[in-house]
Amino acid sequence: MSQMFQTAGLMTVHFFRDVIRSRKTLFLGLLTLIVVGITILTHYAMANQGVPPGYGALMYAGCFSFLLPFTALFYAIAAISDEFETGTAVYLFSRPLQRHGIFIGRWLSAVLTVFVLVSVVNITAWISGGDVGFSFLLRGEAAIFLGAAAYVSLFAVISSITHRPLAVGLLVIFFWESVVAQIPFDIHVLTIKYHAVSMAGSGLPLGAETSVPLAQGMFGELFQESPHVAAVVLSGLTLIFTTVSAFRYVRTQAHRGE
Amino acid sequence: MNEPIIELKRVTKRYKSVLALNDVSLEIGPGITGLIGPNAAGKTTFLGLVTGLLKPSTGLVRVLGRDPIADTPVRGQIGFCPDGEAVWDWMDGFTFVSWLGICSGLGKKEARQRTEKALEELEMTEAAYRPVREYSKGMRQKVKLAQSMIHNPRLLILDEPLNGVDPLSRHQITTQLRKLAAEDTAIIVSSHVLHELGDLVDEVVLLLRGRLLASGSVSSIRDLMDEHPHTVRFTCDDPRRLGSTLLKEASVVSSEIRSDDIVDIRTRAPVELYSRLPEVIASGQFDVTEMANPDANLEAVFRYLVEGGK
Repeated sequence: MSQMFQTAGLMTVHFFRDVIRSRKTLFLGLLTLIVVGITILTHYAMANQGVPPGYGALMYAGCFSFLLPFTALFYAIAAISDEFETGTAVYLFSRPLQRHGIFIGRWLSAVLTVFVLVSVVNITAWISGGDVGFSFLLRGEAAIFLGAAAYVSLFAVISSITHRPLAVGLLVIFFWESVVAQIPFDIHVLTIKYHAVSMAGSGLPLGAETSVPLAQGMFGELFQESPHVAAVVLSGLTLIFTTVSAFRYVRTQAHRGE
Repeated sequence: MNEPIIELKRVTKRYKSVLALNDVSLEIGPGITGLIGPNAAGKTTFLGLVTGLLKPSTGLVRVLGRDPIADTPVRGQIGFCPDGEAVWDWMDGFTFVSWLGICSGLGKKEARQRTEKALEELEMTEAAYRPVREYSKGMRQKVKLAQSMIHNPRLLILDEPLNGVDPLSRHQITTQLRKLAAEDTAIIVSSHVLHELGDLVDEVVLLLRGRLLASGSVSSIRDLMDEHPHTVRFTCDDPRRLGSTLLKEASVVSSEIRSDDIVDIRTRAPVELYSRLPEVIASGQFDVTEMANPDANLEAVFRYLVEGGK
């Protein structure tokens, strides 16, 4: 067991050193800054009209609808598929390293990277979003962490079963997570976004002071689950998806023979 | 043979409908063994199986008596230098080698010390801290070789290590391999041309279309191959004149003009022909831009073995 955690630690360090220099991180870092900029601009635009934007609306639009699944997709692919695509997996898999350890290290690194990037937006939204208690920020952070874990695990499964993880992942984000989430009859409980938003936003003072009617409507629909239930569901989804993707990953043949 | 380093029993490997390795049984012992075969012979699949990267569809693979997939520690006794250009481009040569040393179970300090030594032996000390993406093919091959031997493995597996490497790097790599073999490291070197390995290897395993064609000492395989003409393809300015000049050599059987600048020469004594070539080319003032070995000679041996019923 200790050898597995040692391997996971090695892989975590390696992943961070790898992704920090990658074009993905440059692109997603810029994207994060753009979302932060939009959040701040929205805050000032609303403030000028005398209507403070709610933290929940900013968080919903910036974090959960866009940045969280998007960054999770890119880093899950980086964690699971990239080494195979580039051919460097042979160096890792031919070493006396436990494959479960390699998987855990890379998975955890991807989750932490996503968490850090999305947290920047969340904290900006909290600061810009009016007088909202610190406990809501913490709950938002927890929701982002569990949401990141669930999304990364889902996209890890996709990366481990398809040769086109990016295309399939984008389909999941823009169709399943966005369109399906709006369909009535409680189908939205099948999306990760529903649970993440429920966990973060339940009890948030979003009512009359929020001047984003669309977001209000969405929150009205979505906040029907208690944060505890949402946390359990997200953890359960993470466990299921991680188990499946780890199972696939350790059996992947890292070598294309002749 | 002593205790085999590698043992394959009736191993078959399929990729969906493609049969990459077909019912191969084989034992490889200490020393330097050449794994020879044309493209798509199954060499890389063979190496993937013994390094634990691939799982056989059927059959048994043992390295140092253990299963390289299930038995994680045994992979610590294997060093693998893969074919191709894949490396972490953002790393410098030193980091690349020392990090993989750590992955092989070395401590940080020990990995650094061994990396310094390995890079020095391969004359890579000056370029050690340059990003790998700036390296020439020969330099990449040398750091790839360094990472494979950093942890003093008992078995070193090299996939086409001399492919596309300049003469100086080739000399440095082969010198290093001889040194490691003298230190009791078992080495397997793959190549698609037998003569490329020259006098480096002790034993040869010939693969063709996923089947074990022959195995044995270099001399016996060479004798076998020399019964059939070995083809050398020249790209030059005057293929007709080169063909007719080489036909005067006793070792040359025939020549065939392939195009305006290509001629195929067939010989039953390739070693003799190769030794004569520099003088012939220089005296005739030929501008030879490329010299290659088509795989036809291995195909001929295969046909010989099959048709001969051996």
